[in-house]
Amino acid sequence: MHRICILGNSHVASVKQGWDKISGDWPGIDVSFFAQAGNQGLQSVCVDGHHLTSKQSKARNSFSLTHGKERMDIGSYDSFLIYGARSRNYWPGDTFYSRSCVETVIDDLTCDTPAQHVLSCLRQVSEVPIFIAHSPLLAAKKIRDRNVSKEYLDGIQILNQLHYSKYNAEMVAQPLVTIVNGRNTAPEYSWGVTKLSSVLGGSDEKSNSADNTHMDGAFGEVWLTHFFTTRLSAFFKT
Amino acid sequence: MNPYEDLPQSAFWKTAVANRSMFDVDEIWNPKFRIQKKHKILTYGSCFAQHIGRALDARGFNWLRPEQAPRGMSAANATRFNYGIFSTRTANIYTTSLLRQWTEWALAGVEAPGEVWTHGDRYLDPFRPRIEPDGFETPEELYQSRSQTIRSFAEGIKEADFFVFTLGLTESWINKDLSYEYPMCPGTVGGVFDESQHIFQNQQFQKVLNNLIRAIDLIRGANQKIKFILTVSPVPLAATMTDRHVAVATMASKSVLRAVADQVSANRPNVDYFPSYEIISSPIFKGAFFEPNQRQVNPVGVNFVMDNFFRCQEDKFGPLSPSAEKKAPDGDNLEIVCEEEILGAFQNA
Repeated sequence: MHRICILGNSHVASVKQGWDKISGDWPGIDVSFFAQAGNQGLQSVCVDGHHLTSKQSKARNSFSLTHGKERMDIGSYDSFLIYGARSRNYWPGDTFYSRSCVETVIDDLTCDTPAQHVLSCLRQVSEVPIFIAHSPLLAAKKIRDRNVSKEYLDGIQILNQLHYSKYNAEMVAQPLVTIVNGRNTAPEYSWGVTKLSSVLGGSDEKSNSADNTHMDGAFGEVWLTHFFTTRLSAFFKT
Repeated sequence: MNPYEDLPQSAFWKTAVANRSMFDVDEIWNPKFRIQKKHKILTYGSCFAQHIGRALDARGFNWLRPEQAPRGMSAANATRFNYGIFSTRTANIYTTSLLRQWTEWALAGVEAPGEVWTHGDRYLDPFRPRIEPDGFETPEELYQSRSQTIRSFAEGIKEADFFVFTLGLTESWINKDLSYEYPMCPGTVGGVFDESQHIFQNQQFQKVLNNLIRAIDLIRGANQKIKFILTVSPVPLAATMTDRHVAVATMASKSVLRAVADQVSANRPNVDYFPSYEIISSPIFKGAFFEPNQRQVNPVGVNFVMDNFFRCQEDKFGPLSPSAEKKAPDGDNLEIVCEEEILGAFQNA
């Protein structure tokens, strides 16, 4: 049994819904969550012994809801996935930039994000694999094509080479089948998105219909299936 | 009856200046061209040119920057890497000969020189010695970066409606054997000075004029619709290599630049002159727009110049485009990137 904890912000709602649909297909994988909507909660987490917790009561309450406990035992997991939490991908474009310039922008993109803070906390006490998922690409209003830009994949590669490799971590690209217009998420994944608090609280309250940043459970299902298949293949479904 | 009788108030010193507060002096520019929000505007030149781009941007005009910082870079770091200072990362183009040089690299197939300067284990571009905060990792990286700027410089010219150029200096440094020009004397901000190779040249009127005309002709050759707005930097020389007092050398240099700008704008329908130099330097304004060192222009002066720029446009052509809303320029407190400053620092050493 491979135990993985998914940490993140409101974007975790999508993968939680996805996991609820497919968990039966992956008996070798046990998934926990540790999330709070917004970013302040994750930014407030700290390492206490071998546990991850927060000094903010609001964050601890959210962790209780999403994780079952206010504190997470870091040592009890075989890997971590930091999902969303303001982690962003890098778009290198076709302009030439010096290495120093690229390193600087990578630092700008990653420093001070809750994702980076959580990554640093986990690495203080754990050496297990850590994966990072950038916040989903904005949902397209219309589909022009179903291409994936090379720039997107290049950006992920550069982020991994210049930044995440230092933490023995890896940013995982969004499944390519969910991408349209080179750089957007297919619009159908953003329709009828359910809020994180509702997902975890068992209700079905929907996000703002104009929200093109959050994705639905179908997206989470595709995302996790792709992730398990490509990164946790030792625990393939039976 | 005489020809002066029907002239406007602005033609007479008494009504235009003497009987007014200096802040009420108006109609100081009679623009040839209407600038609208839709127009794409390039800005290059000496240090003072940096204010023009920022002011255009702050007022919602289309300041064209074909060479942009990478997406996601903070504003502070973009400035540190000299993105958004001028339209591309040329750094300061102080002289008309440097403008010609960049233009020939971009549009006339002239190959940029291979010279690089070393600084510890890093490499500096002699034509933009401070463009990277820590220099380049390798000469190849330097060449690629410069090529990018040259490409972007050319792209901007082909796309733009206006090219704003601020003439800054006549004093220049030339590579004797290969005849190219450095923006800064080798050995000041980088490189090693070699008196057998590096020649000082204080450019005279005809040379300044010829270089400006050559650059304009090349640019017009690439884009027939483009128009020019020339300005002269009011910022005095930080140092002179002539044997004259720096104040005398400054006046001589600015006079040549001002005369060249006047001649070109008077003779060419597609070239205008905007009097930022007069607004800051004229005795009308009593030196009020200079910092205490009487060299750098203070933020009030910068705003006054740029307010005049837009007000004169409105006076002649009516209100600015509705979407070009005025907002306070947020760049006033930003440092101006001026390598020439280093010369002043040397004096203090």
